[in-house]
Amino acid sequence: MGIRKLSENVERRLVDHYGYNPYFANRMYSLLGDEALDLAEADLKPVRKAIRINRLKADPDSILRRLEKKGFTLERINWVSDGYWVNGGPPSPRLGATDEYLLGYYYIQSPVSIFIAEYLNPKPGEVVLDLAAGPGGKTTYVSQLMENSGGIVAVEPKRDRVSALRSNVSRMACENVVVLQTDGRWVSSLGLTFDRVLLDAPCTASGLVSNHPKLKKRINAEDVGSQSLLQRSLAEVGFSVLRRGGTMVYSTCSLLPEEGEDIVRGLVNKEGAVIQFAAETRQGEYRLREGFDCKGAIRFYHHVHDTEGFFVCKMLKP
Amino acid sequence: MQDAETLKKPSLRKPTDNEKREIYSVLNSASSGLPAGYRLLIHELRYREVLAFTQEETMFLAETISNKKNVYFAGIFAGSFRKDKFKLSLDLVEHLYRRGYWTNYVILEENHSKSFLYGRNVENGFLKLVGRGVVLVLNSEKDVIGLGLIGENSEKLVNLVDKGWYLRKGH
Repeated sequence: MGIRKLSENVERRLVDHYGYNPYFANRMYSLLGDEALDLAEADLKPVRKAIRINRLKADPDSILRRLEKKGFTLERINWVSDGYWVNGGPPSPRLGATDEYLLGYYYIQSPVSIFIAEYLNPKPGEVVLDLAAGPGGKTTYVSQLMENSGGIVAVEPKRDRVSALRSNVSRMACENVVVLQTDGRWVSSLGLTFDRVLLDAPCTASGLVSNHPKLKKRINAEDVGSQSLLQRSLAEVGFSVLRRGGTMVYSTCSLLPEEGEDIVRGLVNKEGAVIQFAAETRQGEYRLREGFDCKGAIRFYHHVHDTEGFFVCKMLKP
Repeated sequence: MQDAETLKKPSLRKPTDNEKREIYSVLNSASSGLPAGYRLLIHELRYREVLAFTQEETMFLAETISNKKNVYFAGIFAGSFRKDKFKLSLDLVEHLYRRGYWTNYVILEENHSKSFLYGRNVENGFLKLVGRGVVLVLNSEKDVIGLGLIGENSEKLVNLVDKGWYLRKGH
């Protein structure tokens, strides 16, 4: 009675005070308990802005100097390379309208997205698949980490996004990328295999509430179910085109295990994927939070990590 | 998964001898050229786009995929053919400049740089001019801001393309 009462109180507060729909409030409480209120409170504010310096075109010290001269206050993010928190800036130019941005010297990017590309650990000369590239934040960083060598196939089905992807690839001087506008589920018919696969899957975006508060009302069981089916299909395709001994990183900006842990568990049980642990990364020093009943997977939260909510897991194909 | 868009013929192909001649002639007229090992492919669209590749793997992926699917973009955008004339792209010229294969450039003073980035031609205001014809345009901080044309004995820089264009129109 007492526990039920507490649960009702938290869920009611998430609905009445923070504006979540009852389904989302119930899911948040069942996953995080009372901590759901900390997350809801954090999500009232935007996540901290961050940038990644593009070493393919710029020397970090000179870009930092130039941005600081323009009035931006930057702070090194100590758990990723080339990432900087933007603690303040002038009213004009905005971060996305400076000459340095236009010239491709940096990318406005969440530290988790920077982390995901680093976690994939791509090496020069390899062949990499980015199965849901979006506008190319991770693709362009993978290209940088590969020192513009080897090849990356960046897949994006949406017309507006694929156009932004091409634009960003050129702006950031990435020369090893092949951009393909298609449904990622079609990729297995290409007859190619890859050393590494990155799948930052389309999702309900339940970890992005701070950026899109309307999601509090919108997320529902039906949406979670349909996204989960798509994620499962994409993950299976991604794993099928991975060479033996290759690595796949699966991520989503969702809080819900149907879109994270369950997808990974499916690959482990059905395809024999072996989860790789995060100990090798600097994230290990940064308040690591494990996935729900999924040892080796990582979860990021706004109220803990100052970033969007994310699920990230690295797997090996034996 | 079925895909109705599967192609009957590849969307990328090797350049013809005439196309190669035209591309190299444009590069040669600016005292430039492609470094050894670089490859070109033609992307058949409403007009012909030229893509340059520095990496064999990237070109292999692009060619393999184009046998089955229309590749949206690959490698470096080197330029395009309008009728039979090849028009160099800023992306390729900037790439060549960074590697020391492009020598013609002009450095503009600050106000002229701003004006150029708004798509305007500029007169005078050159801090340094090396070569004539098609020149890479740099600002006083040596950032690449566009591509221009300066005729013999002229002090006018014609704006061929500038980085502001990318912001205004995208690719």
